[in-house]
Amino acid sequence: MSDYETLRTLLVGREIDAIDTLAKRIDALAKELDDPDAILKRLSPQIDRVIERNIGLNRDALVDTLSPIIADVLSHEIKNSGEVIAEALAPVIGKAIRVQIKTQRDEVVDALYPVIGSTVAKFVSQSFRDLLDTINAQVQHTFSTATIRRKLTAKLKGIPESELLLRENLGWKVEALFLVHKETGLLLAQKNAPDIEIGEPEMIASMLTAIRSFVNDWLARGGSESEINQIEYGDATIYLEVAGSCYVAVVLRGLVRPVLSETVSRELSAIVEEQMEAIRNFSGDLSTLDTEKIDTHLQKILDVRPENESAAREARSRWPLYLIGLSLLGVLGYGGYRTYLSYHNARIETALLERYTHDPALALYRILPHVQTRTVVLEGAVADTVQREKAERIAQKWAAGRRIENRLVVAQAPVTALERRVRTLEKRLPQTLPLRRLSSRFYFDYGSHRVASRDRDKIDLIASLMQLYPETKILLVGYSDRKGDKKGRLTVAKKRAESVRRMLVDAGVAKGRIALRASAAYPEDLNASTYSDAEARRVEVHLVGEQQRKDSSQ
Amino acid sequence: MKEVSKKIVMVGDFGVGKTSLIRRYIDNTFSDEYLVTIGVKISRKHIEVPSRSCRAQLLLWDIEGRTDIKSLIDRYLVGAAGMIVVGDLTRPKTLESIQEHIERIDRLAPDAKVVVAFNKSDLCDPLPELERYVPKERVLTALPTSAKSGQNVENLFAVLAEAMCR
Repeated sequence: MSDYETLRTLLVGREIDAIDTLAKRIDALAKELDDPDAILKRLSPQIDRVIERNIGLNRDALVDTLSPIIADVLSHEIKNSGEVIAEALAPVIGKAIRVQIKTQRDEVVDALYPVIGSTVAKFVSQSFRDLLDTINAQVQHTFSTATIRRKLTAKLKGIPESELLLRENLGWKVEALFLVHKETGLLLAQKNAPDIEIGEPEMIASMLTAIRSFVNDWLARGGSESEINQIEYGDATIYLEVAGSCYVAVVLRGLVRPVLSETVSRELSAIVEEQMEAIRNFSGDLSTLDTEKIDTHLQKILDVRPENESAAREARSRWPLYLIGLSLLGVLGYGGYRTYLSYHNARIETALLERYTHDPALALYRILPHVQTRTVVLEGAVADTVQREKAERIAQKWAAGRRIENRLVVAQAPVTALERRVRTLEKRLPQTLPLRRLSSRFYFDYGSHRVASRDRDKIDLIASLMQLYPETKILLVGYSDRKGDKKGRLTVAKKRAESVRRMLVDAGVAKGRIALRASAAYPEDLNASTYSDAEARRVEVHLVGEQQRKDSSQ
Repeated sequence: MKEVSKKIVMVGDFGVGKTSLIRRYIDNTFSDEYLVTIGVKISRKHIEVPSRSCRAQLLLWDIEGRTDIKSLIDRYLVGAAGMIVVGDLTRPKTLESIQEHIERIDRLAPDAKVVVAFNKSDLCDPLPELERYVPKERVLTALPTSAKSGQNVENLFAVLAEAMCR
């Protein structure tokens, strides 16, 4: 080593080593920079911390950066690994729908209505067809000379048998249609039959909306949202169907038939589908809607005719009639003796049918007596064994010595159209029908505590309501006028309340369900300026606590 | 000419004269005896607003003041484009509740335009200080009215109709 080198080593030897080491490290780093794998390896443990820090420092900026690609990322992922995404989202889907329904119910209904509406309509119409087929099959299969004669009897009386089974042949006709904006009650469109005149359709739309609001408010319980579906008045029906932001009211004579409700669902569905946004945002300006299109759909509802459904049914119902005719020919050709016997049997059968129809317990059921030369066969269904035995006893009385073959089935089946209707209506009633008000007052003559005879009806009404709502308790508050001292006023007020209670107890209300109070003050609605003695001498009836209907648990 | 239909609701305490105001304004009493049982009465009036070349059809929902089913009143308010709040000048308590009615409107129909009628002005002379009863920024106008003399009845509806055509 030269002196120079020795001197250098002594002076900067350590630094030179350090520089060498540094150079090596820089080389290594430069290599790493060219190698993406190496960079990733170094960065990845820190990425989470970087994101976490950014969220903490500037959340909005991060959202702004990421949001444009979120949709792309999602669709890419769904495309490539849809099942994984589905699995990840599945647990919250139900919750999301619930939240959506809670906050934007109308939108959800709008979106689902076209699908659900037609599915339900399809299901209902199929069930109805099945029911009809069953009845037809029954009619066809229970052939005998007796049934033929029963048909004839029914014909002679002007009541076709099929009508007794189901009010199939009732005529009906659509008279008018209203398409109404649900929230504001404003009329979106209206149509009526040429021979029907509708005055003030806009007001009718508002009134129908008020009635809907009233009924929905009155019957809504526990936050559930239901809809009023039908208003019946005599032979007229207003049929209502709601879809999201609008509803249609169909005014018709007769009862709603499946062919009509199907058409209403279909056309309303189409209207909602085509103009969902415009209807939702409707603010009173009809030019924002495509009224022509709406009219076309409404016209289709107006054009529905009963023939459309009877044509469909006719094909099915015709051939049993041919058979009836053929069998009748056979019967006529069989000879006088047989005819006489058959005639006699038919008379017994008619008599029995009449007994069953007029018996209060059996009238609801379809009991078919088949009277033969030696036997009487009872067919059909009743609700319990008591009725079954009763039907048999009646048959024995009229069978003129014939043997009774009781084939009546005990079943919980709705048998007549009437009963079916009652059950449908019962289903529509809410499970717990609240008794919100029982406002009634009894007025008294001066100084008297005798309940006036004109108030007998009120007593009966309250008693029957209390029977219907067995949990109900009432409070009777007695008042008097301003005459006399306070003590005297209280006494007569109390006596008045007691008189009313006595009459209610006589009418069958348990005493424990009636509380009494007497007041010497003015009744609440009377003050110094409106005070009238005659109005003040009274007993008020108030409800106490929550009211539930007797049959609400069924 | 533009044509619009709007739902207008009348609110106010019992006996302030809502129905009389409507009667004074409209001779159409189609539903007079009707629907009272469900707490609302509906009337209709067409009104032209030349300044906006617009024809407005007002469907007036007159809510019975005595109804004790509050949720029902709420339902009737929903969807209203305009509101007429009525108070009775002879009964200060009904004027105090104007504020309350407006709060309810804000909750249920926040976009509704509001006008206030201080009714029975024919029975009140001189008029009391009225400004304290109405939040000025929320109402289009607040006028003393009389269903009996007809004072300001047309004006009140005209202001509302103009707002409906905007």
